[in-house]
Amino acid sequence: MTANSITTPRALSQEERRAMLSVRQLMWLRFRRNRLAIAGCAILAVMYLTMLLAGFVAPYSVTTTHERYVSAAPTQLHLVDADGRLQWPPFVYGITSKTDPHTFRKIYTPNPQEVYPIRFFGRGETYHLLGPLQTDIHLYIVDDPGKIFLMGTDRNGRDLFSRIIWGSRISLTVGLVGVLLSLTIGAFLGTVSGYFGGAIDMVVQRAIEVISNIPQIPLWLALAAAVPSNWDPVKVYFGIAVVLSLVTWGGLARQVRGIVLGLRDSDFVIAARYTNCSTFRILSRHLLPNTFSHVLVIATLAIPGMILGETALSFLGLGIRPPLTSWGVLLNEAQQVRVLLQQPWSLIPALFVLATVVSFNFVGDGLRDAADPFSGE
Amino acid sequence: MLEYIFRRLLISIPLLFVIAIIGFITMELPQGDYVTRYIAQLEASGQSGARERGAELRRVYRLDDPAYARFVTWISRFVRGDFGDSFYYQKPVKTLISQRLPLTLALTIPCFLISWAIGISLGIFSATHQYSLADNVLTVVAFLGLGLPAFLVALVLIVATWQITGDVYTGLFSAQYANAPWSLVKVADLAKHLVIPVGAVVFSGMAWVMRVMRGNLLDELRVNYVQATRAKGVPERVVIWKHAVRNAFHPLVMALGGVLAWLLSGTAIVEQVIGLPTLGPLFIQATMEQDVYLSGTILILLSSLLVFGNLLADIGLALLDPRIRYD
Amino acid sequence: MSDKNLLLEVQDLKTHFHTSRGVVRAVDGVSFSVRRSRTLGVVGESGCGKSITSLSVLRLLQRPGKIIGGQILYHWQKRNGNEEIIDITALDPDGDEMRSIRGGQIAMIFQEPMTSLDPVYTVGNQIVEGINYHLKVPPAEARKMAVEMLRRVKMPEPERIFDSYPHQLSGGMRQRAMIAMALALRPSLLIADEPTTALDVTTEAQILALLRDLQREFGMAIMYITHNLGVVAEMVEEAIVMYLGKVVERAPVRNLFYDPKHPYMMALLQSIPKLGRKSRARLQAISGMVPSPFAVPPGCPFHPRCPKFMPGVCEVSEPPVTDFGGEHAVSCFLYQ
Repeated sequence: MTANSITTPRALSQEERRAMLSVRQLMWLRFRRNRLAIAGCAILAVMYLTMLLAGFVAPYSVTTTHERYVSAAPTQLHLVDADGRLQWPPFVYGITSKTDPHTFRKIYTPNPQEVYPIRFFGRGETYHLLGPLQTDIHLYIVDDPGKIFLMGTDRNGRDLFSRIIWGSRISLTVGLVGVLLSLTIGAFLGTVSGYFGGAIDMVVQRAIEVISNIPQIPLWLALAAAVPSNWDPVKVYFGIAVVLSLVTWGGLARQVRGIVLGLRDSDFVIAARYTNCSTFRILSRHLLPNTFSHVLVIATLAIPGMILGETALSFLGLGIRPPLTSWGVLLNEAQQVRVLLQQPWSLIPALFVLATVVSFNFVGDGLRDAADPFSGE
Repeated sequence: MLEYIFRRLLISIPLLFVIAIIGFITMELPQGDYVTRYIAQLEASGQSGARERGAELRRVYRLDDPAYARFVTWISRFVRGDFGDSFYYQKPVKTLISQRLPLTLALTIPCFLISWAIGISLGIFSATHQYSLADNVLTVVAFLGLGLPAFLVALVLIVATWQITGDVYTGLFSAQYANAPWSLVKVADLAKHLVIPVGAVVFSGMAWVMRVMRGNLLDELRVNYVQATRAKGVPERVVIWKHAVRNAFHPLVMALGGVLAWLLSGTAIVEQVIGLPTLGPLFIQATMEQDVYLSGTILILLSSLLVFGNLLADIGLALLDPRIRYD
Repeated sequence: MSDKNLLLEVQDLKTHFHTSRGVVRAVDGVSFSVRRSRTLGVVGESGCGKSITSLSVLRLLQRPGKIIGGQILYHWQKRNGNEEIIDITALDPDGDEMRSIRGGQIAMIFQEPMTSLDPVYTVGNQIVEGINYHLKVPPAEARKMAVEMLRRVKMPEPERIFDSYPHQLSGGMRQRAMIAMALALRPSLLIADEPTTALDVTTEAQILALLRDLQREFGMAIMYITHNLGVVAEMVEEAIVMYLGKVVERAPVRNLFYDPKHPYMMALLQSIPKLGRKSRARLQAISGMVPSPFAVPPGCPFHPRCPKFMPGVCEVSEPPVTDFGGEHAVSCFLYQ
């Protein structure tokens, strides 16, 4: 076999195959190796799945009140019964309530005489699973008159865990909608501004400058206060999403503009211009796909800010309002220190906010490292 | 350079004017105004004469004038230093703000200095000890700090201190010291009460600074000049501090532009939650009550500080980085 | 090969990287010597370990790289005339002794002049910085030394350059500044890691000419690391060829080009397009690709791509070294 002979085609080695992967495939491989990012993805997947199956996972509905169990502490789960034997499934005791003669507050004591085993996939209240499809099967429930309040109840006797699950529908989506709106305006204006330059660029730049020179939190507060409280809940939802996006589109636009400026004078764009590509085609077919990975990173990293913003606004009473529930609304109860001290469990929604924000940060960081060819190793 | 500063200052005037317009529009957006709320409140508490009092307020403050007229009046008084009166407090806005300013700064300035000092040191430490146990622990701490808003941390601290000590640390002073004359005990009491807000704010603040510093420094340490400097026989300590850290500071200097505004508004919700007599709760309440002169003035004040702060940051950046010249 | 002129002896150097994906044996038993005032070329493709070798010599390796075997002996001619032989692998990388060798005895210039200078300090500041960590001289003296060095590297207006920032200089000028920085302390050995790869051909020619002049003027040894055979032919007296962390051939430059022994070297020479060929003739490339550093082939690392591969021999064990005399040696089973 001399160096001159034509080598017969042979199976590609793993290195050769790897050298031929597309950019997107390489990104995915790099992303997959980031354990934190995968963990974040897993957590988010669980959260969003739970959100979709809210009625199933939550034992009670958002509004179900258990009037006799106002401000009750989280129900304890037991695995060992009175005789010291291990039981499965876990069970809860019944709750007897008494009113303290001095403080007039209710005191709850577990009653070992009443034993209610947890029923997995048991029957409870009816709810809509998908559209018109109704069912009454819940992930876990106890038979009446037993109650299971995994995270306690609020001042109206509503199960906090159920409300957290149902509230995730707002908290987990408002951020996405907000980022989507922000991106739509921001990416569009950023691209146009970066590509065409000149007067358009100046105008957009000035607009961004004005917005970014008003402090974020005060502007959010002021705009949120403008959303009328007598609007129907869906309008309020979108109103808050719009408010969230109005303050952040500037930053997104600026970053997209930076990317477009970098790409505008690259050879492939100039080549496209020389072949008489219409501007629209250049933007949509050449520029936009190249900005995709960066924009994805920027968007993912912007979501935590949105979620925290909605939580803060709702906490203050300026964001999502009842009857809609979000984690921020649930935390609103904790705003009064007096109430908070009686019901410290009302801070639990904060853990869900934390988990969501941290997961999005992990995923965003992972995406950014995967897109950046100079990281790691 | 001086020309650049002058140009920026010149541009800031129309910029602030536009911001004032936007601010005014934002304040006007909610339906009704302070008076309608006032009337509703009086009627709800069963007091009579609400409507008359309302009409009187309307007349005095000319609230029935068209929006642009009110805006022009407001601006023309504003530039002369007359910021209007607060409906709720029935006092001049200027007085209210200046009353609360010292305490606000007494809280936020230490918060800023401490969180940046800790954040930068830990960030540098994290970057120079990448993948060590300490780095991983600090990363976890940072993510906690980024994921938990300061006001929630404050609430958790309040509950925690209550469970441990039995006292509730809200407000500035415990009940018995609130109106007492100043003494060492009172100062100690004040310090105890400030631990929670400062702790909460610092926890969140230093998390962000630490992550940014760590990320920037890691990026800088990968650039060739770091290795080239080592090759000259320069000690590692100097390579990191004189060269890498200085270059890594760039994005943080840009962030410093927002500090002035942050000193007055960044801790608003924490202050609200704890019940401190500072600017934050004042603004929140003014916004919710549509106390437009109060909220509008604070908004303009904050924006001016942001504009000015950004200018200072840009100057600082030019001083730090010889590649930036604004001619 | 022990003679009084030895400056640096690298013996069986092994530098490994323990990564999460496996062990990379970047330098796997490399031996060579550099003699005083002589030039040595280190040739090889990207990833063959030539840069890691030089970083190992200067103990500039970053985690997870570690020298796990071998010796690097530096013959230090002290001021009092005595020669002291120091094993660099035994020194503390950030200790005083290593740091006085680094920059003072052995200096290095790097590939990317655009990013090899700190952008926030002046060129002069950075040259003087190097001086100050080796000599105790007053600032005025240090400045004079730096300006003089800038003049020696043929910088126009050296005084002005001293106070300039790197971004104000062109690529070629930055590389000259780097050379000035490296030579300010008159090191005995200069390691040049692909110093002209990032420059255009005209500037490259100027820099190479400058290095040749300076080498003659200062009498220092130079170790050229390059993948460019043209630079090797022009600049060095002898060269070693590296492949996947091992030295496959070592020879004086004439012998290397006119009488290459190792199939890899022969293939490299054959792949250079020659003037005067028919335009229809195919370019000859070495078949296959450089294997991943995580999957180094057993036996002779080159055997999967070798046109003279001998089954049953080459993939079984490492080839022995055959000495042809005249300092020409090869590591290949062909010459058993």
